Amino acid sequence: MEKSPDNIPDQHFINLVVKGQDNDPLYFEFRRDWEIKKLLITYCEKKDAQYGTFPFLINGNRFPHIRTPDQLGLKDGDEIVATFYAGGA
Amino acid sequence: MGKRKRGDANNPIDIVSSTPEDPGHLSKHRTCWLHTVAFLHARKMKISKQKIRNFELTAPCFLGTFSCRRRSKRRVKCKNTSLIKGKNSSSVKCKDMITKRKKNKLDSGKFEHLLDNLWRSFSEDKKAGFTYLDSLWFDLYRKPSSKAKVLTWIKRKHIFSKKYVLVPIVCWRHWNLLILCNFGGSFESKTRTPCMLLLDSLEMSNPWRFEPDIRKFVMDIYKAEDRPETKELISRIPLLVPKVPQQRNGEECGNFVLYFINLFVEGAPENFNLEDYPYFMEKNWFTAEDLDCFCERLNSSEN
Repeated sequence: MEKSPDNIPDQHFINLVVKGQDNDPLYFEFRRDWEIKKLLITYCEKKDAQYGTFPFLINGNRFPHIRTPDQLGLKDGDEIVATFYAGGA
Repeated sequence: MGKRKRGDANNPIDIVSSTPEDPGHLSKHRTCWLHTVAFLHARKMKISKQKIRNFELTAPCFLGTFSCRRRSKRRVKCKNTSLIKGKNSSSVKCKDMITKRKKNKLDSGKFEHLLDNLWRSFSEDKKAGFTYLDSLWFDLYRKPSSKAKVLTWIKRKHIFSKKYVLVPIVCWRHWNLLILCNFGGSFESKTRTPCMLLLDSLEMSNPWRFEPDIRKFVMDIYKAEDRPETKELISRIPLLVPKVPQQRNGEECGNFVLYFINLFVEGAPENFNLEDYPYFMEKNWFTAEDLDCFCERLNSSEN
């Protein structure tokens, strides 16, 4: 894989935003052919949380994290919602 | 050194270029002058050149001299790690308890997964009159920042064309099931008047505490779909809390909600009528053994 981002044409990139419940959205630049999981893990790290603590939704739906943005049909500027872990008895 | 905050709209976090040579070991490196200077810089503290020079002399950086392993990514899988850093034995116990508790209680991810499986097992014509909302949506709706988003998602579900809408609710660490009946029906008709059912397997916890939120939720759904009904009519939709079997311990309510869904979809009347209420929803609707059987079946189908 090419390491320097300058050499990769622009269409391979996508800008995504992850919005959590803390009103502090994070914007990401990501590759279209990488598993989205990588982005989600980075988000969790930035938020000092363990991967798996936030359920993520795209357009209100859950999605398999091993898909790439292309497979998920994401467009530039699309939004991922991070919610809180919710469980109960 | 990034002075601007990273991750805002003009300065997105660039995973692509930062990933290959992620200086993870450098950021964890806390003893040398390089790190001290970086720390002071990040805190916007002023440092004179002389001071830096002194640092350089007194604390040389050996980072490049010998290789060091990256810090392990392994962490204890529990939420309250900071709370249980007590004595060794007690912390182990705590960890066990927490993992056990997590295992038994249903979280929203597992719940959705089981519900998907369950939904697939229903026949097509049974499913036709039903739809269900994601269990996180109600909770998200209650937060002002995501309210509008949830309403647009709900719009896509076309709930006014369905007879029954199942809304699993997970709030305050407890699972409930809200069923919206006949929302497409008119308020004048005798047979198909809109109503709401709230099934709660823990009546002690007072299911009525949800009423204000549910009322607002329903009002907003009507508004978002531009329905002609007036506010007064909507606020008069009856919310019914039938007496249903109660859970025996603190871990079952997720399973109860799944079983409620299963039984309701299978036994729901063609036209839900307030005169025949509460139909099958009674104190002895099902026994504890039925529930156990159901859970076993559900879990085995998953594997």
